[in-house]
Amino acid sequence: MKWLLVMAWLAALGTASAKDADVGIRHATPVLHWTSKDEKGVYGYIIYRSASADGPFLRVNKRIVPAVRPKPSVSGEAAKLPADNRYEYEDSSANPAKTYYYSIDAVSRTGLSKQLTRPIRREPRLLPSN
Amino acid sequence: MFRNPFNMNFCVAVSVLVGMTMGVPVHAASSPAALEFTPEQEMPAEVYQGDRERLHFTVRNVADHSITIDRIFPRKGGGSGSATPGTLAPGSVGKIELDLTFPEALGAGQVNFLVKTNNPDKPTEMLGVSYFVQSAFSPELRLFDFGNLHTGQRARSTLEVSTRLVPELKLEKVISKPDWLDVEIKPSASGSGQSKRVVATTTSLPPVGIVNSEVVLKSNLDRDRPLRIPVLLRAFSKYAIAPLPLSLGGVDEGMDKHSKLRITRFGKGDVLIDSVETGSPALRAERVSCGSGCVDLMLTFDSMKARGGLRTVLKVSFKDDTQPLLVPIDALVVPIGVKSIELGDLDTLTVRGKTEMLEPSP
Repeated sequence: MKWLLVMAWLAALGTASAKDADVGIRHATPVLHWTSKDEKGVYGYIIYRSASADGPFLRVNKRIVPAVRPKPSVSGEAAKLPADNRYEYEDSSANPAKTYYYSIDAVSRTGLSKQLTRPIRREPRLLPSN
Repeated sequence: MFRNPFNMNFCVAVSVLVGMTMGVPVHAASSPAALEFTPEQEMPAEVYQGDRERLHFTVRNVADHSITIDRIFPRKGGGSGSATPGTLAPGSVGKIELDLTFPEALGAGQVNFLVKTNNPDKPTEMLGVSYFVQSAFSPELRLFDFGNLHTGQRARSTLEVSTRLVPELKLEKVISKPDWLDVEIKPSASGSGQSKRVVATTTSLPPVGIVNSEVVLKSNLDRDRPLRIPVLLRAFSKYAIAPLPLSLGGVDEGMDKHSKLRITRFGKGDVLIDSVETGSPALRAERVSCGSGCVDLMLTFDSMKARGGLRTVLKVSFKDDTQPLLVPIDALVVPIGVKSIELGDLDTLTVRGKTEMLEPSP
């Protein structure tokens, strides 16, 4: 199955703040960034997470992260998308002190999904102390 | 030809604007809407195949008189709705609850509910519910395709199914299946607990012809979401025919279209055709040998004799088999000046079970 969504990747992980209450150390909540090009026919994105590279991977976002829709132009044709569509998802359900593996699926408007990324490892990150 | 990102061979996107958006009444030019609907949950409703949901809306009477809501029902399909209170004073707000079962068809869609009122200016308002249907299982489009089976043949088809909604997928029992099929659940070859192998084996032959059926398995997902796997096979007696069914597609008015049906014999021997009935004066069939145990029927469709189109069943009877072959055939005659688009095969993404013939081979 050829996939015309040209490119999508996880760019960075982890910036938002969170607190590990048990030890009083502040860890960064995992934040996923990805960029896509050519989203024609894409409804949105589903994020999966696992504590192991081998799985099991479980769905994180209950609602699908909606794809950026091209705005119709005056002539009725789809306007050109910007060069990149950038997305960010903060995984507030994760334990910031744990290592996780993430992967992202794109879902078409016809309900079919396609894995965009291989599992990407995210290590716990300490936030700078105040 | 439009290609979608999932590379369906042919995909035509048809957008039908019905003059409404989700949760907003249709505004007819002559009579403005008297009721305004606002969803209380995020829309579109994101659901899984076959889910039954209760959706809630607030409804505001924006007319200058009281309005009683008599009935709420979907324009098509199953579902129901109710309003509380039933009568709304001018400017007041009520609640609407919709109860609907979402379809098996994947992707974005919309169901329209009709809201019947006593408002003489606008007795029917429309409440549109947009939705997005997902599959709880992967592959989303799955099929046990046994191909051609003859009397006495058995086949087995194996399909790997997974989910990422639970850490371990359990397929606990068979809810329904055809009588002539045995179904077993086995661990995944990959060892993943989120996957299972479903093995379907034919135990006898269903009635001759195209057979469409379904295997339904109980799962451990939320709400006991079942796993449904369609089953397809072409059951034959002594002879097989392909393709079955046959679509001639679009034929320009005044033109002929040619196609071929191949008849093969199961086992050794000649093809002993007794008669061929095309079922339509617009369709002619000529027999041509294609080797031992093989005959081609060369078909010619004359569009001048079937204005509008063709929908017939070709019947082939045999001298040594009481079971005739029946082939549904269709064609669409395209009037001169009308542009047509050939859609072709639309199910190229379907993941078919790996099918192996058990016994005997022809």
